[in-house]
Amino acid sequence: MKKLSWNFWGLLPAYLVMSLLMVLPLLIIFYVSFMTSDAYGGYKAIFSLQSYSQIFYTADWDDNLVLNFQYLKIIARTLFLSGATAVICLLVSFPVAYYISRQSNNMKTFLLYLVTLPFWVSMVVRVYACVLILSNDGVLESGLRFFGLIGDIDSLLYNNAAMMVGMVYTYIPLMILPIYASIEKLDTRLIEAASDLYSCRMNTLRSIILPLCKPGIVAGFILVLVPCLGTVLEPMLLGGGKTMMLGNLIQNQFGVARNWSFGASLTVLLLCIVLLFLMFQAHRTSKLRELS
Amino acid sequence: MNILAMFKPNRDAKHYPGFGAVGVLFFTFLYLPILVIIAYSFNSNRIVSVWQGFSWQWYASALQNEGLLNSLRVSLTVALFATLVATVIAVSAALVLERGQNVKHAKLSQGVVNLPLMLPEIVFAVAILILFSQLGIQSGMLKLILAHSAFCIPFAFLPIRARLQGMDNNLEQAAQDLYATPLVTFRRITLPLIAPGIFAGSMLSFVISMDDFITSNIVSGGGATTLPVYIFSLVKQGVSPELNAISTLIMVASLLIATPCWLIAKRSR
Amino acid sequence: MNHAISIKNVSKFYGDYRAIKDISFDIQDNEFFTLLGPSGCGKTTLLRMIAGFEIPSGGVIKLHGTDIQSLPAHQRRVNTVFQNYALFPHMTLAQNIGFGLQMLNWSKEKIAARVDEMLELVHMRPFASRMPSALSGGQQQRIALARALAPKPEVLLLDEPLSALDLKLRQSMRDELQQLQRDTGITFIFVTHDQEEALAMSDRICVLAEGTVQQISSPNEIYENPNNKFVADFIGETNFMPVTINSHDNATVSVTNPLGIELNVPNKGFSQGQEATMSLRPEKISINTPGLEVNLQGKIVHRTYMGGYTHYKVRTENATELRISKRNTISNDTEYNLGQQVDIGFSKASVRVLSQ
Repeated sequence: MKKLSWNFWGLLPAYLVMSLLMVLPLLIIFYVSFMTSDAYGGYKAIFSLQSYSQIFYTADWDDNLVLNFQYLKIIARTLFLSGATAVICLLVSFPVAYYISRQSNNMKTFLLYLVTLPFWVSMVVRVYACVLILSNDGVLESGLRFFGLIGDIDSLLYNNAAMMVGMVYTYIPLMILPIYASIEKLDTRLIEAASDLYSCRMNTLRSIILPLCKPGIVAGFILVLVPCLGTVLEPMLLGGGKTMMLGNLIQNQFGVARNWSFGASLTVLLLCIVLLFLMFQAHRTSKLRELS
Repeated sequence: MNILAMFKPNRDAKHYPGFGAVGVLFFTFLYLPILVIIAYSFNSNRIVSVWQGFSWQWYASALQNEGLLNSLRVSLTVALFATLVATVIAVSAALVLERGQNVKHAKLSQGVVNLPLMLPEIVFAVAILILFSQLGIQSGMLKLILAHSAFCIPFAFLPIRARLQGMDNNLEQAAQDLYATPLVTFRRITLPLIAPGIFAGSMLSFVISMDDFITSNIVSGGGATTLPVYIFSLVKQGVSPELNAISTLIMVASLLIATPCWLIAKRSR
Repeated sequence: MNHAISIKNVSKFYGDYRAIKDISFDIQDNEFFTLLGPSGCGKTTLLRMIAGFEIPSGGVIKLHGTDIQSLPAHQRRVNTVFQNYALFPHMTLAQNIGFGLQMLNWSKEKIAARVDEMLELVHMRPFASRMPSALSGGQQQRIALARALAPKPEVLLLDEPLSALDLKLRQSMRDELQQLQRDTGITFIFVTHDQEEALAMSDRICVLAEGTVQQISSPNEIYENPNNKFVADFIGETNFMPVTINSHDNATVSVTNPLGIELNVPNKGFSQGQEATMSLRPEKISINTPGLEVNLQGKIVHRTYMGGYTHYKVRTENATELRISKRNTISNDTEYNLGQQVDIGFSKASVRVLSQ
């Protein structure tokens, strides 16, 4: 009995903080998303699905609902850019992680240190680094212009590609670490065994290394994808505020647009997308566990 | 890392040609922008991309920037309180989850502690914004401390838990076997042995709090602007040499905090 | 007689799993007592219940006559040597050894003197201010022993302390442990799955299997007169043959066996027609040695040379295979070849008939 109460008191603060500051706010968001928005910020406690329909439709002059692609486009862009970022991160991370795992122990720890170091630097500063590189008359632009690869008026900033560069730059360490961990766990004798059994490198990679690193790859993919879906900084600083993503759209509803219930419904939507991916991962890992 | 060695044919089946080149390109991609910032921060020209000469002047003007210093003060205060709260909560949760006997719903509790890691931060930020406005909390500082405490908990928790997992729990039993009461066991054995984990966890949550932008940007107001939010407002005005100097200072500070933490983590492994 | 440890009707359940099933036995004062059994037999659980790390689901454990059920681990005058030593990595060896004494509120001078004495006892005096990580496995083992012995416990518990050491070291530590037990006069309860260790050191051995006591006897008794098939099989090697009991009278029974010999053994509660097992140790059978009670003909079908011994497998005329172990005493001129016809013989007194 005494031991149980130790357990209880030890976990109580964590439960208190998390339920008050995480779960309760999420429940409020869910509640607000079904309320009517109030023109002056906040919401009126009247049930309505208006904020959800606003994602798809707008009311025209005669109050008829017309399909509206404005927000759907933003959602599609968010999904596309996040997915593309995760794929690029994966394509780069796997060779890098493998390369690191092949180094001597000291080199390994040093390179891992270099990979994790950016985490300790403020994200604003890291995005600013991208801004600086891509900025008008910045290093890259002058270089490309010198070789005639871009025209005089083209700008590297304020487009989808710039946002993606920024997202890859900020989130790629999140992909490298889990993949590296799974490669480190890999028994290198398996690679030798495969080559002993006449497998060429590409085939070994495809049929031995990649399948065994799958848990790390899936984990890294989710780790990059989730923050990308809700990212705010890159669209604002590298997208110039014109090319929006879901994160900014939500943020705006609670700021300048003052449409809480619409913001809440977008948040619920984002949450659902994220949960879908998390459930996919949980399903995958449980399946992998069953296999092993 | 020997670049020439990369082009020699390698008969080792575990060697993949080209991976090394990707590695070199990756680290260049990761660190070139940072190096450019640092280099430009010493450029005396107001126009960032045109080099004029070496100068410390932007550091001087950064250190005299009232807004910057104010936001630094806010960030430090928030991070200090949030770290304290998060570390205490994380230590007690980690002790129960790793050392408690017959812990009920251990999986669920684990999930609850790590909840902030599973959500995109913007979701948490707007949710807590609504909560604060419903509760009518006005003080920007209080709002920041509460929000930061919540999302720092898993960052403090994970290193402490890792440390406890890596520690032989026979040690605590050995102490009790040698007549130490549970309290003395905690003070003499458990605490000294998980101290590096607590240090790393609190440092990590301190840095996470110092660096946070998304939540702080939405929640702040009421006269409390944090350092990243202030820097963001500068970045929005465009590239400037002073911003380069500020960024360099922040990176140096990060390096100074990260390196000892990393060394401790490495040694304790 | 005062028992150091007295265990009465002790059980331990983990949910539906019964790790210990109603065990009772006593351990004498100043005894080297070994709990022997395969992994999962409950020996470590039993040890941990004596130490106070596990609470029995039922029954009573007494330490020198006092019920220690309600005492937490830190109030029991027993100390444990852990399997992986559990030396505190942040304390010097002297601090490790002195830890228990400090907890018992000994004075500084007395602690220093006792630590010195213990370091001397385990021949580790020059290492007093080293950290545990700087020691080899055998040295850590010694310090763990010294630490557990320092507070002069009423009983010392040893949880497979030799299992992490290499073979040579393990053998020399056996002698040291035995010597240490005699020198200190403290009751040792030693847990192991290694039958050789148990036979070599113990005053008495308790063989456990699946949470129940199979036999408690001296090493010699355990080896020569096993209670049942499990004990005979677990300790040493033996030839098992299925047999049937034919009752004669109350004192002895005749046994029908595959070797076709006439065999009468004491009646240990056998009933007529009961299926039982006959056990005959390989070293009790001789090859080409005249003048033995039982003589059989056979052919060598397998030979394994082991240095000090040679193991043979002989197929008898009625197609039973017997393993025979022969010491290579003088020279190898008595080696037998595969396929060679041999006479084998043994005395009926070396045959044991065991209930299944």
